[in-house]
Amino acid sequence: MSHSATLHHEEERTATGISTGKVAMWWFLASEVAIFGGLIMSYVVCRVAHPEWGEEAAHTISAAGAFNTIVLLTSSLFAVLAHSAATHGNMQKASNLLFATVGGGVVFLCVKAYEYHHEISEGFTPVSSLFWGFYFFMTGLHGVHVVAGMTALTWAALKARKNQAPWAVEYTGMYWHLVDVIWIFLFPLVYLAS
Amino acid sequence: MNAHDKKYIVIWAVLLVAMGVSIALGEFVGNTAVVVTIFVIAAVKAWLVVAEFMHLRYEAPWLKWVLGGALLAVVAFLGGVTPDVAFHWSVIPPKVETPADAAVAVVKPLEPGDAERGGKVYGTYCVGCHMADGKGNGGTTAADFIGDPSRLGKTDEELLTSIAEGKTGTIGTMPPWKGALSAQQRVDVLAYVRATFGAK
Repeated sequence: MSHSATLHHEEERTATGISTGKVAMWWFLASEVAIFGGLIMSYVVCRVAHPEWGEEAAHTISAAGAFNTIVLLTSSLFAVLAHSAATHGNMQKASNLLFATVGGGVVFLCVKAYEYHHEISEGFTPVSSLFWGFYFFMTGLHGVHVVAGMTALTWAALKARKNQAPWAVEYTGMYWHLVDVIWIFLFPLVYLAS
Repeated sequence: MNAHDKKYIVIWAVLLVAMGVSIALGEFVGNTAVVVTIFVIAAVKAWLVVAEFMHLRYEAPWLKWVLGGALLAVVAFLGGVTPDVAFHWSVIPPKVETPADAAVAVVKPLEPGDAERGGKVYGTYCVGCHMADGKGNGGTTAADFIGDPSRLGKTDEELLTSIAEGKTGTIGTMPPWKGALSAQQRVDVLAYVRATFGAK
């Protein structure tokens, strides 16, 4: 059996009409939605009960949050273009686009590190108040997901460079889009609603 | 460039424009309708990413319900905790001072601080950072009333100003409480703090 035949066989593995890997990804992403959804809803309920948190939220750097939103949206575009390239059999282009996606993650984390540094040096730490506890926990957990996504994307990009694992381009991209979607909600919650 | 890629770029541009609209609206967050609009825009952006970038629009209906089930769980969670939080806040409702309250305050002078009533205020608003023992986790989350005698060595006037207006110091920031607590509640909670954690 040739190598590409093996790949083909892996791609077609299914019990439902949809490839099993994709179904598993959606189950996994649904569990992420439950984790972040519970956290975000807890924050929303507390935020509505504490109007005075607005004064604390005013200390977050809105311009940095907006810049990072642009970075994540653009890196998501690269990820979906990578999937499109892989679908058309252009694995080298897919690999390059996945590396560009990872680059977006690097920029995002640098900006986030600058924000944390600025906030902590102003005296706002995770234990300063419930608002700052939520802020650091929500953005920190999201940051961990960014690191995990970058790791998976790098692996998929290296595989794609060797014309392997075309499915990984799509699945790691899906994970990255979810990280983007979570940020779409975190941005107005911690930066805009002040 | 194929038609799919063009569509992805158009969607990306729409997402950026939507973000710009949210930021412009962010200048007016005092208004409830504006806040709701901002989150409706966030939901639309999220849907665009999920439907088009993650291709969920083109998947079988049952696969959509994997995500739908998680979203329903989140909604059920919100429905479950909201009554608890509403009940908690109705025990000591957040009080916002209006001009009418100020007028009443002029007519009706404040009663002397009542430590018993103040204890309820402390247990709701202050305990999260200052902790039940008044030590603020060893002075890491808030001022340690016991370990640092200078904290309660200040005058009532100074301490009432800190409670009302908030204070930023070496530990961090205490939020202002004049929005959530009435003048009477602030006097009461000071009486409780002095009676419970002050020098005996």
